[in-house]
Amino acid sequence: MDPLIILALIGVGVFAGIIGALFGLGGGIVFVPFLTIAFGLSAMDAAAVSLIGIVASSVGAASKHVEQRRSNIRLGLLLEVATAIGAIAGAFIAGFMADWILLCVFSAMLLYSALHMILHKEHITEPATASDDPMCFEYTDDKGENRAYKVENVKGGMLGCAAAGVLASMTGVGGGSIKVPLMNIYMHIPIKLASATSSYMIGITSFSGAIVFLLNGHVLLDYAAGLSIGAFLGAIIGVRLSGKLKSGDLRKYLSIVLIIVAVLELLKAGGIM
Amino acid sequence: MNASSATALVLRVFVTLGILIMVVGLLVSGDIGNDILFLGILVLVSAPLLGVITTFFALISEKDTYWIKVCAVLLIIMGIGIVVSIVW
Repeated sequence: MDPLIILALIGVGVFAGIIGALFGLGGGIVFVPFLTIAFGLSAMDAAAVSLIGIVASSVGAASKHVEQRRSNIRLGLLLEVATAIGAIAGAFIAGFMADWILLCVFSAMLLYSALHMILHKEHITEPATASDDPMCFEYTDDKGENRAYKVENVKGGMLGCAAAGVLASMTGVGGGSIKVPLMNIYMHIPIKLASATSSYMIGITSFSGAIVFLLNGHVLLDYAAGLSIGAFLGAIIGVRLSGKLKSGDLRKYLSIVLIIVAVLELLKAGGIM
Repeated sequence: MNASSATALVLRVFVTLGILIMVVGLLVSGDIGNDILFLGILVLVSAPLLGVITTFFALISEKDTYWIKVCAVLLIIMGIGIVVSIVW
């Protein structure tokens, strides 16, 4: 493979890795358009290569986030159960619903989440007393102080994650961009923890698809390797940037990213992209 | 070692190992290079599953019953997910 193409793939991977690690998004929204438009891959090849890049970005970020206790692995496991069930259900019902309807619903949800984040401050529920509640956890805030938080609306949050799984399975989008706002706005999880936990979850979500694509020989190995190396490097940079950003700023930037994603998906639903 | 530290260690080791193998694979040409790339990607892609398995055993050692059940359910669903992906 031409070294220039490998360098270009690494560059795309770094960009997507930074975005992914900062905001808890998988990176597919960056990978797929670049691979199809700039590198001329078919949709199938792009999806397979993208999945490997998503695993590299999310696991690279999660390895640091988990170490720094930003990813809540327990909560991630619970929400991943719902996401995985949704993804399996999505595979079965994919033939019965038009993609454009889902993409419009998805875009509307993203726009609502973005506006909510812009108009409202982050709400964290601190438990009244120390308890054995499995939904009470600790985190370190922007000032470096240890604080407790209680995860709210767990059942509703799991339903939301299942819906995100259905959507991701049917359209290839929606993992992190639904789960991060859901965790932050609805379940009252601090934004930095929500995005870090999402990174951890996305690696698990992508595992099944990635391993099947790989073992069936559908992955263009050199493309996947170039993209993964870049995504891993980008994820490391993204985790460092995330540590320096204040929570309010992270929410503001995430809102902008969500609006961009919503517009791109609306264009896709309308057949323009 | 608690669940978070153990999981972070496994994720870090396997993602780094996978990336290093891929770098070597890109430098070697021909079929051997492709085989090395395949191995590197396989190691990378396996990291999330190995992370969940590590979390499961770490939670058992912490006797954290509630989360052991959650993790066990997730491992079963991941298995079902692979079967569905292959069959579908």
